[in-house]
Amino acid sequence: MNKQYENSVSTQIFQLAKQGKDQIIRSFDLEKLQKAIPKDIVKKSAELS
Amino acid sequence: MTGCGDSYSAAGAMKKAVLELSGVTECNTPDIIDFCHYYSDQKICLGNEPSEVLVISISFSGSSQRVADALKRANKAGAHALLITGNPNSICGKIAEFIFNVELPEGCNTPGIRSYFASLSALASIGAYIGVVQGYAGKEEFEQTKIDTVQFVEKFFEGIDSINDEMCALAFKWKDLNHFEVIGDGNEGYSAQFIEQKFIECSGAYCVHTTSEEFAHISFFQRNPSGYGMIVLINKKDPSLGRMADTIRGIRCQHRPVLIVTDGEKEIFDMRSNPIDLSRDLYGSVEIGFNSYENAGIVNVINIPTPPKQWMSPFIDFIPGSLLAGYYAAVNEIMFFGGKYDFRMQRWIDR
Repeated sequence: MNKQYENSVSTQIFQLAKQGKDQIIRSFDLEKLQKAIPKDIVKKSAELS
Repeated sequence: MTGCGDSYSAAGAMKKAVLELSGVTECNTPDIIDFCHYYSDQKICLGNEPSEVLVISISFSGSSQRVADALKRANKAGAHALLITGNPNSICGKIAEFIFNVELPEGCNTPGIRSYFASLSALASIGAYIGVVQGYAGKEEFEQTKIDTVQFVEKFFEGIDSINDEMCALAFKWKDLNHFEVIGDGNEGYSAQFIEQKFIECSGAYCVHTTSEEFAHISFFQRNPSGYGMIVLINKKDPSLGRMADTIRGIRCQHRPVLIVTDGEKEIFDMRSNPIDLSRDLYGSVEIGFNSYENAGIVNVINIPTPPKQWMSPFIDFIPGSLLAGYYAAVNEIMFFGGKYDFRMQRWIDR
């Protein structure tokens, strides 16, 4: 039944089931984060808005 | 933290994460039009030096004019401006001071489910990074947060086949409904907003999101309540659990078809049979038919794993409702985005 009604939402969610872990790991990368937002900027940024 | 559409939902959904992981004391998620046009420099900075303020704008495509405006507004206020995007070479990318590239792998992203998840991941990681740099947390805690998040998400996906089948079956039960309301409190309120967006994008159905309190105040008075498909997001540790239980009771008394997405046991909610009492039908509109409480399957419950931290819930709680939104359109043979997107072929029509 599902096959006939597969759609781009269900497709993406099954892709997430396979790729979600890697997406989180790619984000939680200190080196990448430091390149994106230099440490000295974050140290000065006491607050977020 | 701001954005348009589901990017804004991501900002709201991860506010709790950023606050808890970074240790910062203030984090706001203004509506982007308010931020661009109604926020003074003072309101942006909240008494801090502009250089102490980081404005995070989210646009996966990087082509959102309003996100570009928000980045410019941050620059004008003297604040730092960070863009979360999948397209660093975009218009927004050229304006932003800093860019976090979510690096989404190739694949379908219409409507934006995968990019939404990528934005959630990016925001949580940025919160955790700030926490490490500012000495609020150590690198070990950063790593543990990553592991906990991965394990939580993977545990949910272990049951995705069954959830997928249930949401497809429910779409058939709810096929003829044309009003939907999604209820969530706190960070789950933004997951509710995301589901609302997917219902509208996929099928053009009338759909709104609200909170447990506002349902009791306002939505309770909707005409033909049994014609509304209700989706409730609630976790057992949510501070508003008691009020949400009241709301679910109200939903059931009005014979509204309901899907509850929760980590709680069914016993938390009143699941007793609730036969229609026409003498108490205040609106004279309860229908005994496809959309009646009984025929709509009593209460449908999707159990999700308990998040190790409450801020993690938005990583998964949007998924059952989003599946339902997609299947609802599919079983009605409605092409997404007002007929412009073929959900089967996964391509835009006439482009």
